[in-house]
Amino acid sequence: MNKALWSKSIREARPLLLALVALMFGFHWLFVWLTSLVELGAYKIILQALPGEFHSLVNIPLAKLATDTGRISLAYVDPVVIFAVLSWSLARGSDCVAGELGRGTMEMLLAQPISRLAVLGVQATVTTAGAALLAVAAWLGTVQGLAVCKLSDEVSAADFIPAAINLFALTFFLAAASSLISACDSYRWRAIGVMGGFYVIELVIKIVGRLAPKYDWLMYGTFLAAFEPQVMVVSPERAWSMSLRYDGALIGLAAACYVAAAIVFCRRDIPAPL
Amino acid sequence: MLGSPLLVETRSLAKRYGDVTALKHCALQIERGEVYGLLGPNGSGKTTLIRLLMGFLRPSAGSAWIDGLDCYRQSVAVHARVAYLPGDARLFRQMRGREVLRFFCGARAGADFRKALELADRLKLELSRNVSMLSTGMRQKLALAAVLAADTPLAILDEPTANLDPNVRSDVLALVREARSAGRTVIFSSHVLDEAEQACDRVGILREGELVHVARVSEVRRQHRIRARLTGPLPQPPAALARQLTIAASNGGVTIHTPGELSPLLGWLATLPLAEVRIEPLGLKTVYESYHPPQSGNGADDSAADAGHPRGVRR
Repeated sequence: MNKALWSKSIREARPLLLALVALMFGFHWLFVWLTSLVELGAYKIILQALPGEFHSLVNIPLAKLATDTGRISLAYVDPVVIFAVLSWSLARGSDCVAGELGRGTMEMLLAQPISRLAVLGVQATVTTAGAALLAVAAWLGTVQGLAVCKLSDEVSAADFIPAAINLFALTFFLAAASSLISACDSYRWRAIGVMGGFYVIELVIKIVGRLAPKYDWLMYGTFLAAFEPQVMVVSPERAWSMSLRYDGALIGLAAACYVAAAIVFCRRDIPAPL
Repeated sequence: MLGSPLLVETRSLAKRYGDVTALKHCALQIERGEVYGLLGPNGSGKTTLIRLLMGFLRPSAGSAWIDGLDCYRQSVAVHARVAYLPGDARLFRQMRGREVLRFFCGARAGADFRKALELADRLKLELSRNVSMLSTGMRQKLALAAVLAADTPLAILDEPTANLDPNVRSDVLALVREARSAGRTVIFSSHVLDEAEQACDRVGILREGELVHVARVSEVRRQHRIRARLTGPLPQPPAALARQLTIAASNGGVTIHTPGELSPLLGWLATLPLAEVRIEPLGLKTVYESYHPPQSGNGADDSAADAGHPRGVRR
């Protein structure tokens, strides 16, 4: 593939990626440190005071949640982390076709001897590498926190590896789904809106499925059912089998989305700059 | 078509968007080394035709070929042979001018960065500025430098002088002439007929998505129009001349259109009962206006009759 295309894609991704990697690393380190500040006994009292629905939502038994490992595992589903993951995947995914079309730069790009597949492939590779870096930064942040903070329990950094992989799989899927929407559209803002709306609907489905037992079948209708990093951390004995199922499902869906995006993009008309 | 004199060919090319036909039955043939002008008002199908040649659009019918390659199915190989400047060139806003040139030279084999810098210098470009800080005209010039630095057999320039000041327009026309001198083929779309007349060897006129007329500019320059008011009836021209002339009478006057040299006609003209006579070169404008009469209607009907062209395809 074209070297100039690689440089362009990396250059475009770099500022956001650096900011989000710093956020991921810093936040996970901070989370461990904050965890070390709150005494475990006091935390148990807080947990017991929370309604049962909270435990259903986090999907971890109280006994496991009331440990340092359990507490730190929640960092991987914290809104800050979800924000970072969504920022990266939506920003990159929506940009790959609709962004270039919206800015009017797609036709100058495709006027070069560069295939549409290469344009999408380079973008997807850089985005996927970025997703992996975010997951690594999250895990390294946890490792750093565990190395410098004093905790009451013995916590193994290795227990967080499946959670980081699950985070990567989620980011990979979100970026692929955004790329598919972007490949079908010519407006980046609309691609972001559609993908954001899709995420919210899936989140609501997961919440309803978790909180209302008679609707637990809804869990089959949301990709977020395959995002359970906190469960993987507190259940190391089944973490890898969960990883195989959950990450496999997310990565498989992502691959399908990228294939569909490539088909759509390679066949569609490229409109004149808007 | 490899090795053939034709570099560009379209066969019954058409593009439809639902009920709207943007281009229909387009049969275009462009020879190697010629500068071909595409003329027509907005919405006549020029840009659609160019975008079909670039493989950006899938043809609804027919096919387009460049150097023997199918423009849609083999678009990457086609792009290796084509340098394209869009009508509204948008560049990567976060790059500086020099980086833009480096990107486009890096994106294709055979593009010469030093040549791009020379062109930029000639077009008086400030390369240290970010694209986002450049005016529309400067961006257009930057894109032109990037495009013309590629040594491709074909350059497609979609309204290359739009947004440019008159001095730079003449530089652009000079660059087009240089490209032709270097043996390159150029497709040049423009609204400005003077520019097309200066730069092009042949022009194709599009109307409502149809290629309605193709003319060789050198032949158009040889054509003349004679408008006369007569004091008596118009005598029949000699048989040798009658075959060449198109004569239209209107409102006590007569308009004679001659497709070739004027000199054989002058003797016969001298025998006419003339009250007034005006002889003028036909020019591309008159040919163009026979297919696209001015909106004001001022002389519109005249020019169609004057040019003596039917409302169909004429080559």
